[in-house]
Amino acid sequence: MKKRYKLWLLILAASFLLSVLAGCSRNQDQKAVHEDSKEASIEGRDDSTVQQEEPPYEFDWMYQWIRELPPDNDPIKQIIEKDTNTKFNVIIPPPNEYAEKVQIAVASGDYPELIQFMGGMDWKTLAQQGAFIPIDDLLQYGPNLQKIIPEENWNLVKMDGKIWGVPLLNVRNPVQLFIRLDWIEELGLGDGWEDKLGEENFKTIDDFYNVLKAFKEHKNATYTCNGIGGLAPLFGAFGVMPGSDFYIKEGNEILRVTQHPRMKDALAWINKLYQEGLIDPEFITNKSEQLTNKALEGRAGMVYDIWNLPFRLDVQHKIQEIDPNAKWVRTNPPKGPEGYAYLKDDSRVMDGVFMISAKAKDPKRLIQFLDYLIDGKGYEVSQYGIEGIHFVRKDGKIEFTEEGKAEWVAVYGKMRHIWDPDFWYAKYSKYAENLEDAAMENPVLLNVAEAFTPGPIWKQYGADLNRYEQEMLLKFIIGEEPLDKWDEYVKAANEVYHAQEISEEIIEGLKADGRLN
Amino acid sequence: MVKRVIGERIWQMLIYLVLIIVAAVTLFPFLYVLLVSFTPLVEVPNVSKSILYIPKQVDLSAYGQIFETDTIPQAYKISIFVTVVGTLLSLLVTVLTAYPLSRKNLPGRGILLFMIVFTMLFNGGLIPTYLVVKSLRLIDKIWALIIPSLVSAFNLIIIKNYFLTIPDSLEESVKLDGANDFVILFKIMLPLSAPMLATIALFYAVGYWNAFFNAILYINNSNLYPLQVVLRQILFSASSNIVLDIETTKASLLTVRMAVIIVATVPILMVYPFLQKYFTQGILLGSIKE
Repeated sequence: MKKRYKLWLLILAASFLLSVLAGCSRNQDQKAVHEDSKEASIEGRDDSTVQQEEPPYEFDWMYQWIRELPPDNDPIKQIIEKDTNTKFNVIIPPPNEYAEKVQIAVASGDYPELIQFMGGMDWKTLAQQGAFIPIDDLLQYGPNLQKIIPEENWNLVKMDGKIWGVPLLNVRNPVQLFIRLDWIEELGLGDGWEDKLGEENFKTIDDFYNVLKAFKEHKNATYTCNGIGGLAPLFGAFGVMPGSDFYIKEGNEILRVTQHPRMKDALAWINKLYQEGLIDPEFITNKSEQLTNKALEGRAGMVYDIWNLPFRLDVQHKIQEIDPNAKWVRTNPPKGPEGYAYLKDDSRVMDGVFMISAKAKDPKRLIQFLDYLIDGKGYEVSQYGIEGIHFVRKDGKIEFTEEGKAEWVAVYGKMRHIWDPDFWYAKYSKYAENLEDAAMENPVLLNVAEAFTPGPIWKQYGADLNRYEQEMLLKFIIGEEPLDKWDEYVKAANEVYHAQEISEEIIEGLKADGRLN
Repeated sequence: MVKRVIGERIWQMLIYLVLIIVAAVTLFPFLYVLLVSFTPLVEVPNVSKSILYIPKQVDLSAYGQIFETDTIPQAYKISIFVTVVGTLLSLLVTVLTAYPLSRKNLPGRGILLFMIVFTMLFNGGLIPTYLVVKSLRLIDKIWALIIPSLVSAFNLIIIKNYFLTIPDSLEESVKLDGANDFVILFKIMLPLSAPMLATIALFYAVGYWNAFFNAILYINNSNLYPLQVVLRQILFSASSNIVLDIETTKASLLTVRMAVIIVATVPILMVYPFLQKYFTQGILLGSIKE
């Protein structure tokens, strides 16, 4: 019996070894073939200056899209393909597993030539391992890309002094601070607020405090939001944001906001508001539906939410049926004692970056493809659809037709998701004012270290530091830890969680990537 | 004597009380989901406040929206195909593997069993598995939802152990009557193990119906997404903050999302009552006589 066992084991081991060997050798073959074809294509490129004669460039394109998918043979794709002389296959994985799907695709070695990495997804490690190519030399083929994408956004895709991808543009500030205007009028809190929507309704943080105080007393309503990030306008009054690894530039210094003295002031003030019950005690656990519900039922007097809250309340939830007087309007963030007022952090990285595969047959063509999408006809087609079918022009303004209202129409409009009056007013009519105001007026605070390249110290301690900081900020706000312990907190962050070293490493990293001088 | 009866009664009542609480706790979210799916959006906050609130009117528009587009009906087709075909194939292959393994005269039985049990504890991991599926050219094929999860080692062991409980003498006597191995399996063994097969079938069916990760990994073509993937997409797209005009999409409205949950859960729920009587019985038989 024992002998037989050994025999089996031997056979097992042998077959295992064989399969591994087979796998390896085949991979090598493939690689060799691949290099051959690459060389061939490079040679081919040299004498193919007559571009018109070229066959369409075929490639796979993977990105995130969370709405209705386009129908088979949709006409917009056909126009884009014709204009760019390409034939592309769009791969849209389910949004929740997008990051995993990309990881697996890249790890398997057979991945699309053009992949979107969302904010927070790690393209840097993969790029260092050779999955993607730097595009500095290719940018000459993308004049519109160079013209339209601002330097701050290019900075986000730099590593080791090179540009590694094409950043996608997004509205950096799609949120707003909303307030019940009918209550302001009823309680006599502000004069002529309606005339100056989105401007300086709150002159100081005391104005802000008094309004909330009156709401609490007369309406039993609070300020509500979801998560600590929803308190951003309150922190913004002190020129800080409640985020970890958030750095601001002051003079020549680069400072971590979680250790900034003004952070302590902000916490003291917010803690006061919290203790007096002016902030929704559930602010940390609220989900977006709960915000809507609280706004609907009059349990909130101020809400920090996505810009289209009034649209949702009026049109979708018919708030007038619940409370005929209810009127939600946007307002400005309060101005702090030192004159700071920010609504939000500036999140340029949100929509991420398009990375180009190292195996791309001809990366130049991909750059040209993206260049087409970002401006002119390409932008129009990918964002609005086809003129005459999906939209019409009236007095210089566009108007979406019934067909153009389908959600899938903008599925290829990836490159420039920024404030565009034509588009947003045509989609939302007057409600688009809230986005215009959010995108154009409300100030955002720049994080100079946004999307930094993590170094070894950060990789070891960074996650723990972030957790510790967020936990402590929350404890300071709700009063579980008194602010007398601020110095202890900074000390612990530095000594236990290496905050100081992490800051130094991040700043060094920014310099090495070519983002700071 | 009387005391004992009272004590027993109290004990019984306690058991019932605990069971009722557990049932209520599990039923409550489902009831909420069901209620919201039928409620006009304006009245949803009232339902959120109290589960006992009865909406003034029933609104079926959420269900209307779901079946308005092709997405969900198409996903239904895929899910039903995968569940029915997958369950049948799984049962067939598992039984065909388990039966020989339950025969003590099979050479190398120990090592084969060891290799099967080994996969319950260790596996190749995500990416190697993906590479295998890819090299079999299953990517973007509906069979990628069935073949990689065709046999569950756990179910295989249960079936094998059940076969072991059927006396050898039975098999011998049939053999003497001239039956071959296939006749023995399909005419004798399987009819004897109906409760166990029903149980395993339920395991497989629920597994196939609920599976979504294989689809996410292996399917790029959205026309081949099973119901659970589409459901997740609809459920979670609203909770993401990355979209500029979040919640203007039809699908992310609360009532629609709840209706989608109902639509995705009810079909598999309906299978349970039919198989449940076998369910308890089968598991008990399998484990006790092991």
